[in-house]
Amino acid sequence: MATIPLHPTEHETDLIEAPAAPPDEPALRFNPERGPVHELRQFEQNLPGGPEPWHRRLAWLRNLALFVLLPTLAVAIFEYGVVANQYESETHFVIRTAGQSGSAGSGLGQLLGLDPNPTAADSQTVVDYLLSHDAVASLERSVGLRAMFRRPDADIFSRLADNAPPETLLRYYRTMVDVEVGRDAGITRVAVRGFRGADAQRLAEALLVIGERRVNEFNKRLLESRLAAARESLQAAEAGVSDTQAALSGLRESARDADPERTSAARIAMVTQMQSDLAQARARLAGMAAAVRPDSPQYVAQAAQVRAIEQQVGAAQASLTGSAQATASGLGRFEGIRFRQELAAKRYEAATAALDTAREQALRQQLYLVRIVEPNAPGKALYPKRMKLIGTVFFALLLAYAIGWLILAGVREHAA
Amino acid sequence: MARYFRGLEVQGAVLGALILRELHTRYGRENIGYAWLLVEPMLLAISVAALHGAEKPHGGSDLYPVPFALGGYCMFMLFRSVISRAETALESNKPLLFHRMVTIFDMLAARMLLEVASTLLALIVLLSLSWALGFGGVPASPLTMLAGFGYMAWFSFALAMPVCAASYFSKAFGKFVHPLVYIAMPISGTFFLLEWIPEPYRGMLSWFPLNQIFELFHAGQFASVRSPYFDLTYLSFWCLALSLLGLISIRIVRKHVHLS
Repeated sequence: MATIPLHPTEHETDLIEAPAAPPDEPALRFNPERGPVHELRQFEQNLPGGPEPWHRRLAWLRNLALFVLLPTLAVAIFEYGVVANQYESETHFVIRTAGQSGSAGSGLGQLLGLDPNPTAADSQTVVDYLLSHDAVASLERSVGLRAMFRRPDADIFSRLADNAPPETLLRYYRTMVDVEVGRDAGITRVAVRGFRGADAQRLAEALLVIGERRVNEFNKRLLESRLAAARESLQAAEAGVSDTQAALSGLRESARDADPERTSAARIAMVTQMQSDLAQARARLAGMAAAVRPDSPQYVAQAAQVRAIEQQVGAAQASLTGSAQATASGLGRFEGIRFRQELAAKRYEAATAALDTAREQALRQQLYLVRIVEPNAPGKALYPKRMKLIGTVFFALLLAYAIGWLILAGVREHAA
Repeated sequence: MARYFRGLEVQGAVLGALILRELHTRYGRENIGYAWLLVEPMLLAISVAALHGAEKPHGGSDLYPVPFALGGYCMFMLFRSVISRAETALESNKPLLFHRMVTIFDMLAARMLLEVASTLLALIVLLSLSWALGFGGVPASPLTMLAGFGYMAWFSFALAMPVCAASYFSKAFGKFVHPLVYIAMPISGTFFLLEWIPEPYRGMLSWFPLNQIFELFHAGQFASVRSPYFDLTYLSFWCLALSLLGLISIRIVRKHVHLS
């Protein structure tokens, strides 16, 4: 094949001990009776006017070195000589509510459009907080984030710039902290990288701490908002109870009657007693009327007693109903207040129960950040993944080189 | 170097001529002519979108079914047509190989470019229509979406070359191409996001480059789609490796094509 012509200054002769190919291209002659030229066959051909085959092969090698090996070598030197080690500390936690075990909805449930499970959403809120500028500011106060990212151990390319604005710090922080929520188990995995093992561990610990603090704030707010309404209705009920109580006492005082119900019952009993007395007296009088003369003193006395008892009964009945001071109207007022009092008491009971259930529900909805794996103290630098990067670069370049070679050969065929 | 420029010039001319020839043989001058280029994919995509038009947005807030179906189907159509046209490319264009400057690569590239252009046009027109009719369809990040489209074009072309070679060598393989492409449609993520798939299958599917390309495309199309399931390095390696395989395979085929 023909080499890609190079400027004489670009000759890389330290890699391959070979006389540099002449900068002008070997003339690729097209032979009309052989049909189209095939690179593969042409490769073995010794072209008239061209250099010897081994020479051409070396030229091919030189191109390979130039486009694949040299960049790979440069990347390798950069990775192993310049880029600093980074240590990763990992911690796992799960966000749970007291009410449930925290198992997430299955993928099938999501497929059928069922509600996503609440704890997954809660984990997501915590994750969102951990990657926010808010968390960065808090970490800056607690563990000194900027200083951590500007350690002297870090190389110039991967350290945070001096006087970086907050936005840059946030972006940098997000590259160093990797938070992912496991979709099915709801376990959140936090991986923190730092230029020192201790840094990574401290940062991971600090992240857990601020996460816990944020969760507790959520809980406090939830409890307050839940209980506020219930407390209000309880206070209203209490006020109602004390109002009716006061009204009742007022009534008792104004009627000079400690217990209108008992009083009225006693009065009614008295009236019935009197009525039975009256009936007896009348019966006796009637019996006398048959035995003695009406003007006999016995009869007169008995008749007088009957009249007296009749008067008594009349007075007593009048006191039960008749006038404003009578027992019936007093009892009516009293019973109205008594009914209101019972209502207020029931409302009070209901409000107390509602407050209890609200508190219970809030407690059941409380989130807990449960640590599953404590942050480890890294001993070996896991980052940067040098071999992986170098391998990736090498194979990508090799593929690209091969493809480019084939495509260029195709292009050259057109100019035959 | 001058030789390469000349070669490029000639190749550009050849590609242009091949595209024109392709247009002419495929659509001709009767009825609406070249407009079929746009109308053909549109008719297919509209019929698919009509099936999904009645659904409500599921998942994210802006995940409207019509643009979802349109985007997915247009992308898949690109894949399908590039592959199936590659299978017949040699059959219909074999005489052209008499000309020294026409290569198999040119034929495949011309067909691919034609498909890419027509599908992209159809996609743009259809999404605009969908948006105008109130079904939603403004892409959240057009560049990401185009990146997905570009990967699909590259992947299809890279796969088309070995398919073209294999179907030249064995007629049986050519018969299998169509069913295989049809099987690829339900599993390729044309009409779903990997998020919706339950776990054991999701992990398996996320290794398929087609699924990853669709994830990339949908992530560009809808703001509410945040997909962790595509990896550009992985995709690029797939495409690079397939391209190399394809270029070598059409080179081998060229040696075996005898013009009588």
